[in-house]
This record gives sequence, structure tokens and C-alpha cells, in this order.
Amino acid sequence: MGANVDRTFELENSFSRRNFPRGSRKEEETEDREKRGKHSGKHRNSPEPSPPPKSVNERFETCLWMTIDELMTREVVKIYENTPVEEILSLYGKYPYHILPVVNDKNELVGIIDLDIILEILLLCLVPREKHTLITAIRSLGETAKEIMITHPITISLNATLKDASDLMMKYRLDRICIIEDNRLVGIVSKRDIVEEICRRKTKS
Amino acid sequence: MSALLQLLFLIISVKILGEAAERIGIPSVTGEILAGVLLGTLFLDVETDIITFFAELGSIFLLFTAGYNEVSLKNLKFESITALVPTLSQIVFAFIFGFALGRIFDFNFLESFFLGVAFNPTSIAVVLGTLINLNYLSSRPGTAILSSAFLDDIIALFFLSVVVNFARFNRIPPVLGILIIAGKILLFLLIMYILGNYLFPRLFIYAEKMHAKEAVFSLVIIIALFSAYLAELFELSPAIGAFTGGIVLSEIPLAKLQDIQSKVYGLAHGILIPIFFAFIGFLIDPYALRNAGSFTLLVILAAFSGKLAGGFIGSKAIGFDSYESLIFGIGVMPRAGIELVILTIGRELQIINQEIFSAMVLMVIVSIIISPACMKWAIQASRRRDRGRQ
Repeated sequence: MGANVDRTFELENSFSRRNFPRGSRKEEETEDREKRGKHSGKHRNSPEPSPPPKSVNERFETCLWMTIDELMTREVVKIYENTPVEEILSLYGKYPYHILPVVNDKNELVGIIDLDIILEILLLCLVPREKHTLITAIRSLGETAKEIMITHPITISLNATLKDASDLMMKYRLDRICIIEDNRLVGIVSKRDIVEEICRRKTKS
Repeated sequence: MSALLQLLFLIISVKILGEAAERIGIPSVTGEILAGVLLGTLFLDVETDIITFFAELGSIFLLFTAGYNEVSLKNLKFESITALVPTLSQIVFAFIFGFALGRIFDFNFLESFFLGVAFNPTSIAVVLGTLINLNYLSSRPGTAILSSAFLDDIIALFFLSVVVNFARFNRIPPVLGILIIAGKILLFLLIMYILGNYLFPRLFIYAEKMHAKEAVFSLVIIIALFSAYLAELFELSPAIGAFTGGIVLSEIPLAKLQDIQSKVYGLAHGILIPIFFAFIGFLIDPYALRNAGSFTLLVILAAFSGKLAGGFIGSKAIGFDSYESLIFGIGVMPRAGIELVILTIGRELQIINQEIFSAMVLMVIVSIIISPACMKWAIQASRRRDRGRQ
């Protein structure tokens, strides 16, 4: 199960780290990197060429209906079903994400692993009594991603809009949502992606 | 007014006594049951109707959250057939001990059968803390306890639905009757399976898009109550229906959003389930207990030794050493939530009388108090021996 991380992505990361050493929090920095890598390739052939600025509102409106396709990160750090837990822990040590998708060998999304699960596994002895349930116990014994993951991730489809994604995020406090096409993982969109996209459009006007 | 006051008193006292229990190192259930005893002694005319209503909701939500929050069928795994041997053996032993006890005291078939079923469920939560603290969860007996605990709850609930139906015949039903019961259970499960796979996921997609406040949360509650009601229509018990409903929802992404889960959990474990436990305490009849002193003692002994002996023999058979087998036996000994629901159902349908009910509740309380201590002792003893050998 050697490389679980997309190589190109890793390279890009280390490259951009040297070039853009801004952002006090590590998290901001990496999500920035992630976006920058994407925008460079993506937005040139975006279906809506930036119209002559009329009003901030109108610009904002078009932003709401842009599809996830244009917004998402395609190079996703992902975990394979039978990645051992130690390897997952080291991934979390390396990247600042709250949620990592788990895929099978056909690249179909089968689950997600979030930091809460990792924390429960690491600090099993401190888990509050109300979480002394079968599922916590079984997870703590898990050896591979498949055994500890949440098997029912929230997903949206490729042609969903920014509005759909932000609806979910605002209603249910989700940070990152996986995007699937025919069950296959094609990307991921985070709150930060959306915030940045909107801010970018606002400053343009 | 007085109903409001009593409810207020209940909620405050379950929290305080529950906390007190946790502080002295036993699960809060014991304190919550005690709160109900207090209610009975402090208030002269308890508003039984209202409290009963909340308690019934509590029992429904206890089983609903057991299916909805606490298991994930996809994560469950059973390594091999041999791992099932200790599980089955403790289930069979517990049943036989319960049934035999009933027969010795000249109970009718139905009562004895119910006792056998009620001896079965295991509450993993009671000993899980001990297993975690002593870092014993990953051992052979530890994993065996985990798979066992889930399975015997399921089996107990299945047989409970059979007994509930027997109770309507009030005797051993003819073969045709048994077939009808089996058919009803299967039909209910089939309907829930179809709804859970085709209808509910769609409903959740609509609910998620609704503008009404908390539509998804409401839909979860609606499905909990609906499945309870559907089970009642099929003459099964509402609590069993709620459990099935919970399991059916447990793989629907929108139903299992962390946000929604914690809301359901808060409603259930914050308010309703503690009231249910308190209600149990309120139902205990101390006079009945005093009259049936020796019976109570025998119930406790039989309930513990059934699980211990069954667990011990079963695990010995698949090659555990004596201490490991003992630890497995102790691990499947404690009863809590599901057991109490089964007892209230039995009492409600008048399958068991007040004395048996009180004795069984006392058994549950004793098991909750002594199991963690026994577990700790057994694990430490086994480690001492291992060290001695080296």
C-alpha cells in the first residue's frame, strides 16, 4: 500500500510552500496552496468569462450558481480502504484537514475519517462515558481505514452549485464535502474554498 | 402544576443522583433509578399518566439510539464461526437458567420463557470503561465480549417479540400460531428494509431541502416514532420497532449527520432516557421485594451464574485459558438499558408480576455495581499469573 498520497499534489505542496510562506495558521496555508494549484489550471476555461462589472450584487448572484466542478479541489489527499491506521495517523500529522476521504481500489468513495475519530482512537482512555458504545470500542480496535471510517459520508454531485454546498455547510456545520460522480471520488470542496471564491469576486469588483 | 413540578424534580434529581453515582465510580443508571424511588416517596400522588408517557418515549428512544447512534452494521465483523461459540453458549445457558428458575418456582410456561429471554441481554457500556482503563479491550476475551454483546441483544429482542405475541394467546400457541408470529416478524422486517432502502433516503433528500426549521432532525424523530408505531400495529413491541428503525437509519448519510446525531442524542440521553430509568425506580415495590427475599436472591444468583457458566464453558471450548474464560463470562454479565426495557414490557403486558419485576430490576442494579469490580479483579489476577509464569 505504498503511496497513498497523490504524488503530484505533494510536489506542488512543497513547491508552493517555498513560494508563499504567508498565513499564520498552518491550515490556512495548506488550503491556500490547494486552491492555488487548482485555480491556475481551472479558471482559464471557466464557462462564465468574467462579465463587465455591473454591481457587486449581480456578481455575487452568478457566484452562487457556479458549479462545484469549477470550485473543487481535484487533487485530493485520500486514504485507501486497507491503509493501516498508523499510516493514517501520519497523514493527519502531515496535513491540516479535518476530514479525509476513504476510497476503494476503483476510486469509489466508501467512507470518510475525521479528526474526532482519530482523537477517540488516540485518547481512548479519556473518551467520555456517554461514548462508551460498541462503535467506539470496535473503532479503537480497528487496524485499517475500513474498520475505523464513517461509512455514510455526505456527498454532492459534480453539477451541484456553490449554493447547494454552502447550504449543507451552514445548516450542518460541515467543513469539507466530498464530490462524487458515479460513486467515484472526483474532488472535495471546503468552506475555505467557498469563502475564498466569494472574496476573490468581491475584491475584483 | 404538580405534574410540571414532578417532572422538574425528576429531571433535576436524575442528573444529581446520576452524577453522584458516576463520582463513586458506578454507571449513572443506578443513580437515575434511585431518583425514581425518591419521587415515589416524596410525592403523595404522583402524576403517573404523564410520567408513564415520558418514560414510554424514553424506552422507545433508548432502543432507537441503540440502533441509530451506537452501532454501524458495516463496521461489525465476526472473525470466524468459532468466535460465535462462546456467544451462543452464554445465550443458551442464560436462557436455560432463567427458564429453569421459573419452573422451580412453579411459574407458568409464559413467565418462565420470559425470564429466560430477560436473562439474555448484555450491556457492554457497563464494563467498557474498565476494559479501556486496564487496556484490555484488544485481548481475545475483549473482542469476544464486543461481538457477543451486540448479538445477544438482537437475539433477546427477537425472542421478546415472540413472547409478546405468546402473551396474547396466554398459553403455548398452536403450530399455526407460531408460524403466524414468525410471518409477522418477517413481514415487519421486510417492510422496514424496503422503506429504509428506497423511501427513507429520498425523504431525507427532500427534508434537507425544506425551509421548515430542523426538517431533517424532525424526520429522524418521525421515523423513530413511525417504526415504533408500525411495530405496534404488527403486535410487536414499539421499542423493538424503534430499534429496527434506528438500524435502518444508521447508514443513511443525511440522517447520520453529526449535527443531527447529537441533537437526537441530546433529546434521548439528556431527558427522555433518564426519565425512563427513574420510572423504573418508581415502579419498584420495596414491599414486594421484602416478601420475595429468597426469590430475589435466587434471581440474582441465577442471572449471574447463567452468563458466567455459559461464557466460561463456551470460551474454554474454543481454547481460552481459565482466566480469559472467566473474564469473558464477567464481561457478558452486566445488564442495563435494553434489559430494563424488556422488563417494563413484560410488566406492562402482565407477563410478569410486580415481585418478579422488582427482583429483576434489583438484579440489574447489582449487576451494574459489581461487574466492573469483578472485571477489574479478574484482569489483574490474570496479569499477576502471567507475570508469575515469566
